[in-house]
Amino acid sequence: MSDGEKYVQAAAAAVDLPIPEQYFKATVANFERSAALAKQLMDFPLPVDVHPAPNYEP
Amino acid sequence: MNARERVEAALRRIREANPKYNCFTEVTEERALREAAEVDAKRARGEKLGPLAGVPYAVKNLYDVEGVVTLAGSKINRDHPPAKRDAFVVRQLRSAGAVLVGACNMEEYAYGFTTENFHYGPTRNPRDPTRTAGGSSGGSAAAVAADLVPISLGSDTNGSIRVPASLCGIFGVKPTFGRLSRQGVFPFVPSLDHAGPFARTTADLAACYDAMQGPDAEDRACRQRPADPVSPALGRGIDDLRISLATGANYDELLSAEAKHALDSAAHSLGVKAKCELPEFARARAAALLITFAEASSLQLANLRKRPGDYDPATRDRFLAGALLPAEWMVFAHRFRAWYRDAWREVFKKADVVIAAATAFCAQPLGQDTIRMDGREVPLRSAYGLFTAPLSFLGVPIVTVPIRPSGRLPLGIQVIAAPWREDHAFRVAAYLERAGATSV
Repeated sequence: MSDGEKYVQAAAAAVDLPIPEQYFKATVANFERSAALAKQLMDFPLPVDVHPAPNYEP
Repeated sequence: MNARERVEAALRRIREANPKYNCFTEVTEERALREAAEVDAKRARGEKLGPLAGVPYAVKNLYDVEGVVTLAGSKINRDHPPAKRDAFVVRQLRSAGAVLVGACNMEEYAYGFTTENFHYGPTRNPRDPTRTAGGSSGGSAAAVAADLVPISLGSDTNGSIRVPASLCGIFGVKPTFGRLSRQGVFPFVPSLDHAGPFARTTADLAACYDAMQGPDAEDRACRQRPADPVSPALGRGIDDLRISLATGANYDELLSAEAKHALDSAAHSLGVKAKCELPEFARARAAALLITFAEASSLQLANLRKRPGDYDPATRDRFLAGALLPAEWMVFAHRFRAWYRDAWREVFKKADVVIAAATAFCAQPLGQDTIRMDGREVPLRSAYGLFTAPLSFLGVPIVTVPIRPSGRLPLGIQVIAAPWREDHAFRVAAYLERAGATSV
């Protein structure tokens, strides 16, 4: 089993999302595409004082 | 022509052309005739009419329309009860006298750029029916391009107004994030979703956009600001505007010959030579997509557990994967958004308006899966949004302008302005239209 397959299997169990066998391979492929985007993004040296801008207003 | 005659003519055009283009999933004929009769009765009584009196329009089928089930392009939502009231902006348009004639086809849950909907069929591009109309607001854009209605509403999360406007050769506006209420618009990615109109002229686009404006406390992201109409500014020219052409990595090398032609033509008409560097274009797209995957999937989680087989095969696996992304990626993407906003504030110190291509290439044939870009074969569906996703993530106002093409198929440019300066983008669009640089 590849790392992507292992991750999808474990994360799906953690969030209680059954992934039918016929969709498993394509789900892994999509996860791996997301991981490639994340790798590109997470390389960026973001300063610690940059915070998200939520619109939550108490 | 009175409102009834105008609306009957639109309904006739829809009956004749819709089988060819598949723009509409619902035609609201009874309501349209009732609304038209109301406008005509007001006129007969000598009452003041709204700025869109008797103008027929259509909405993407994720807008709530009273008495109609809000499909959002899905099979699953067919089980929902009909909407109890119109979406906020539909109520605004009705107050302005516009007449709703129907709801339009779209990608399932607005998740894609081609409107090849598994449940309702593909929408075809009126410029070439063998090709995509773009998406996700493909039905709304095609309905305007085919002259079935003069204006329509779409929504734009990563490019879903700008991509179909570019591929169908019409005008579209994605306003500043928070400008227009999304109340009653079925959510896709609430952190990024925008409402906005399509039209064949800047005057119609501006009139529709102006009528949609107004504060609405029911959309918590909608800024509580008074309407700021752009119609009076259309004829003001561009003499006082600093306009630059976008340039940068992950952009320049991806432009097709058609896109370069559109940019050269716009630059020539505007007399623009200045260039500005796009900051971190690829990372902004990556962050936009990661937020999209996770947030969209979170909204679908209950149905992904219960009925995954009812999703469009083109969206299902993306929804399933998106529900599994690590929290760290989301938090980082949202933090990067704040950094990116600040980077663009520097850009806007030197330019009032930035011009970029809306799509890297023209509409491709329906069913095509990949396209060659910069020497590589890449997935086509996501490639349509390469130049739009980073900018909706930024949240600035953008008018898509259909530049007169070098060949047979249209391609649009993005006229990008600073936050809350829709007027700047509209003025440039109107200038290009008057200069004869556009083609609709």
